[in-house]
Amino acid sequence: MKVHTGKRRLSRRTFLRGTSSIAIALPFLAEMAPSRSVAQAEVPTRLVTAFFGLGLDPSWQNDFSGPLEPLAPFRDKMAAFSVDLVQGNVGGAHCNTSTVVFVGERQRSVNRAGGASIDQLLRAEVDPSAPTLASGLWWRRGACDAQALRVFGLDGNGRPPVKRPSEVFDRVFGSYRPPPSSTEPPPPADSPERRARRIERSVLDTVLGQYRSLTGDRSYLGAESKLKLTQHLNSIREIELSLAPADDVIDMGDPMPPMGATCDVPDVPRDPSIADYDRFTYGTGDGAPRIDWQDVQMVFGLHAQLYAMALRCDLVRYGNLMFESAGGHTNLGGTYRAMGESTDFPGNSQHDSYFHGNQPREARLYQHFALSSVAAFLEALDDDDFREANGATVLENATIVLGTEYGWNHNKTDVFHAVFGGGERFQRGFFTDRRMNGIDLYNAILRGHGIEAGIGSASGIASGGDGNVLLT
Amino acid sequence: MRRLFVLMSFALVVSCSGVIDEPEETADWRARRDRNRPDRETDIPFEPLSPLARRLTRDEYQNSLRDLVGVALSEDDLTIYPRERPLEGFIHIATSQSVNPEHVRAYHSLAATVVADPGFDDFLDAVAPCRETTASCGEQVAEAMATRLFRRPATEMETSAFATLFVSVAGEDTSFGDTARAVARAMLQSPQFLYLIEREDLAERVVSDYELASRLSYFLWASPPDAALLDAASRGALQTDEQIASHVDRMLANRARVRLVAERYLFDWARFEALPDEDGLNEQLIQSALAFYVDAVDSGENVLNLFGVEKVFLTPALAERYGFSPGGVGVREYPGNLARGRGGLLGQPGIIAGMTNADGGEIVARGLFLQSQLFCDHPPEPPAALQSEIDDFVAELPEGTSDRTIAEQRLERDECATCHGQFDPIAYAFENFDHRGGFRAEDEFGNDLRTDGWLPDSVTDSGRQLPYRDYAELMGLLGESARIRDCLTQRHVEFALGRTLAKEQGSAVIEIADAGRDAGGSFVALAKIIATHEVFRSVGGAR
Repeated sequence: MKVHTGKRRLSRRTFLRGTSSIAIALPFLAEMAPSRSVAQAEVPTRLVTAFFGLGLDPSWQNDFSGPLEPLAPFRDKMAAFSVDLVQGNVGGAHCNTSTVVFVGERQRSVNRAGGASIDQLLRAEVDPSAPTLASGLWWRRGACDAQALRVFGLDGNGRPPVKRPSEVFDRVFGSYRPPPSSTEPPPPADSPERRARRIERSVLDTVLGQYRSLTGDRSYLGAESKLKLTQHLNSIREIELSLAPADDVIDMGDPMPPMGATCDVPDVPRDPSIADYDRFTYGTGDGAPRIDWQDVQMVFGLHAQLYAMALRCDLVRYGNLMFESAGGHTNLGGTYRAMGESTDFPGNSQHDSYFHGNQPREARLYQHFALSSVAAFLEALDDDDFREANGATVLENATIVLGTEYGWNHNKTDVFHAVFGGGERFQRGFFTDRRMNGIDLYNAILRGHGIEAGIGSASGIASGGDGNVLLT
Repeated sequence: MRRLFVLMSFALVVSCSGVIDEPEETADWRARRDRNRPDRETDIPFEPLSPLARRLTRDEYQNSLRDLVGVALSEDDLTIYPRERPLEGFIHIATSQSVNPEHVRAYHSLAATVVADPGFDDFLDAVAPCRETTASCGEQVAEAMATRLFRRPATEMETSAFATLFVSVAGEDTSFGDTARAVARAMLQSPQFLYLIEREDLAERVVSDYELASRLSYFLWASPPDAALLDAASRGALQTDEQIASHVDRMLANRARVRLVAERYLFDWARFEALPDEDGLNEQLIQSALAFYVDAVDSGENVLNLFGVEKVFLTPALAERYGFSPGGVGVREYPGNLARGRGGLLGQPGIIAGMTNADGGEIVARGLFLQSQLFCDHPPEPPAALQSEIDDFVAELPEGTSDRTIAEQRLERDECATCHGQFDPIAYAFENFDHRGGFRAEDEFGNDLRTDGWLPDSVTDSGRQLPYRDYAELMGLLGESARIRDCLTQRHVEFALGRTLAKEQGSAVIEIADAGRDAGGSFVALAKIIATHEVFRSVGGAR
């Protein structure tokens, strides 16, 4: 595995042509046109949420000596809050706050939010065609889809995050496929192998068409059924990808139009084999293998780098990067040392061990681990060597909202959130002693972008305090 | 009063499901107890369940291929099919079903297996009206296959899409058979085959005849509608109670079919899927319990009250283990004796093993099971902080303290009694059984065991606490409970529809429970009442 982080300042087109020794698809002719980012604005409006599952102990939310230590380098670009998300009341634990994080409204059903996530609300106002990316390292816990959903459209339906770094690359940077391992020339087009592949592709295209038909605007199905079939559809796409021959263009469906003129294109990542991406859940009792924290961090690191590159290249403006779904449920192992302490992650679900097991010390170390992973994303965005047209880093210009689903011990109060960057829109510092509901913070973030979203009104959620302390 | 209980059950399920440690939940719990009185009865008008696509379960998928295509996938073939869990009571509850890449890869791979099977050629011979690779033949084949596999007439759009695939594949110089196989592979991975889908863009309505045909067949057979059902649907002959009831009679005339549906119900109800096989006896425990239930269904017993049936079903190994003289081979019936704590549905060793398979000690595990599966009630999970206090309090008790003593001391603590008082005392009657259903006179520490207890006022019809002296007396109380009759009816309706019910279906549960009681409560009678009831035949409007 490697991710290129050097400064190959190449246009995407040059990059693609320059690698003619390997087969690369050029799926989108639109990318050859002048980028919108150049044409429209020097620094685009962006709002990306970052999520870490399992919450953060409220007693450690207001200084950098504990689990927040990894965020200390960004203290001058950050405002921290403890908000209440008590309005979530549908579905089981973790599920019932999942659909409220970054949304605010009470959910409509277990897997459907009461409105759009804040990134999508801003997108709808600023540029509804701007690209969105939901990605990260996660496994689902139990039957609640929403625990893995953080990006919700205006209709409250969620967009499942992409798990495999290679698929993130495909979706963001194009339908690039790794070269065949063999040096043998590809078989001729009329060979049985190529014919079989074409037939298989036709079969899957037809299957995909059936799912698209039933999940599209003119479908006779309702939102929840569509969500089910959409998840099915996404998994079929994975199969389709695995079948794609090197010289084929892949229909990824709903591609995000490239917007950047120049950027640092990462090498295509190979998905580290240490993670079983296809597992449904990955926790105690699921028969899932242990996965060491170093490996988790490596895979998430790939996601963080890809997401950061996507923002730098202006190929993504809205969305979410997820580190573990709500109710984090991975059989995490390995010795972890931080804050002058150490613990052996036990090789089973951190949720079951630390939260149901009520082990605050170990939970604190886990939270440190989670935030150190998120910090890698922030660091990539805050790269001094990559400054945007106004001379600021991506982290300083874009609005990054970090959040989780609980306070401590499944409490829906004192839920940690932090706002990074945002240009000159926001204050910095700890505001964790101010009582407020999530809607107060979310409305303030959007107000900072000039939008009165009125989050909370749709489901009658009362304000819990003054979120405007965030605003400059 | 019964209506109130049914409504309360729904309220509890809805409000407590998975909510861990909200202080207001505890307060609300007390409030609900106060509401549990006749003068607080309320009516909630019936509303049909909202529509929701439901994926076929592994068994339904296997049966559908067998019945529609004539290909019987082996267990070896199906090892790639992901394990399914009854997260909300039954594995086919639509709201709890997941779809993950393992499913999708399995469907992809198994579709290829199916079309490669010699049985597929017979299917093709029977279905295909022509055998050329022309566009017109492709359209005919696409329509015929889709109509068969989708269990209702194919739409023009579907026919067109699969006919296009036919032409595309034929363009690769493939034979008619290979072209048709490719089209079939696409259909077998399409949502119309893999899911039970109903129109969701209409107002509240009676389901269509084809939709009802699928509802009936997957409820009673876990299989697609047969020719008779589809024929009735095509003629509009699934409209009246009599028409539907006649099909239920026909479908359940075959005892083997009745047994299968009874086993599917009990397997999930008794939570066998998650039973750990610590002694290699799981299969025997499960098969024995299923045999009890199947016997009751076969005998026309009242399946809403099997608490007093003095029979035990055991394999020879289990018989020997449980103090009977083994007779013959396989699962056999032995005389039960309620007075000695053996007999009735809840006295079957497998059922006891299933109800004891949970954390928190045997009394808690059993109490929660009984509260859920007999009374349709669910307390909130204890807050983690409280759990730690409980652990501390238990740790302070002398080593060797009996479970019963611990339970009684727990009930003396207000913060514990609020919830544990609702279910612990129901489980005391089972103290003479170990966690695998074996009889015991004393516990592991040599403590004598007591089996007296009470039904808490929160679950009795009268709203008054009802004491019992032993297992036999408890079974008598359970058999008289209208609330249990309602709850078990609710579970059967949920099983029939593949959906959990909400308070808006509470009145339907009561109507079906009453009608079931009046009809003697046999499984077949209950199935017929459910199948002809509005709750089964209607669907809510678009959301």
